[in-house]
Amino acid sequence: MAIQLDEKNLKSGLLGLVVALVEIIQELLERQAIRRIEGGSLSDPEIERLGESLSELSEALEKIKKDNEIEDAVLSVREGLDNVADELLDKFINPERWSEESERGH
Amino acid sequence: MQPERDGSLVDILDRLLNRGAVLNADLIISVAGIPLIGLNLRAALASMETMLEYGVMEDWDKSTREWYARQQTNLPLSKDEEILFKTFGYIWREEGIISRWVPGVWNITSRRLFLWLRSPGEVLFEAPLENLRIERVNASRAARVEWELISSGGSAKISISDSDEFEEALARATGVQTAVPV
Repeated sequence: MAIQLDEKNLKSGLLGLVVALVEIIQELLERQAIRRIEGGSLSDPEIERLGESLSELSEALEKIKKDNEIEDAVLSVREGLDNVADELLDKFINPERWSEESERGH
Repeated sequence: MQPERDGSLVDILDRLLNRGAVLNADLIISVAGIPLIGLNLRAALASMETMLEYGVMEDWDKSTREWYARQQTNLPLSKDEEILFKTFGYIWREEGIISRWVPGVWNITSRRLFLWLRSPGEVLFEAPLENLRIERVNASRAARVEWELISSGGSAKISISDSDEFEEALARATGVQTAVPV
């Protein structure tokens, strides 16, 4: 993934990058919240508060994206990061690919 | 057995957190063969649920939740006050050399308009509905609608994304049509 910045896309690019990272954290938090709720140690008010806060966070992120018109920028950063993660994982699972790539002089 | 493959970064991080990761590192920095600085690092990263499964941070988890439960976190409404409309928005704050938009949830109740910050549970701005009026000002961004809010409780610059719905709700609550440029 290459990140290209010029004057025009600097703002949307930079903000898109930040929002994409926040979005990833937010999705992680949502999944962990589900896990904690399913774990059964939280009380009902706690679950309600947690759910409300997370949905407010997600709503706020959507609004920030809409206000700044960075939906596409965020999406492309996230796709890029997913591809990087996928490649890394692929190399971990198939270690022989490391040597293949270095032999090819990658 | 084939390892499972998950494509997205979130899936991978989620899996990592659920399993948990432990890092042990020892490091000595030396100059001319003389060790000068030592670093002994132990770190564990895992989701809280996994931590609790292993019996780590149990007390901390409990005390954090107890502390929060003691805080005032409910909306500070009086008895006959009800929320008519709520939406995400901002207020403009100038504190010393820092001026910025502070985000929160705008609530219109049967009595007042207030900006609520859930954590730490704080009312950032409030104004009674009587003599409350808002005027659109030129927005710093095209996609955003900004208002000057004038009330007996003071004035403020605010911004809300669901601008039309907010304007309608406020007009309904105050019974006064807001000043919209024709």
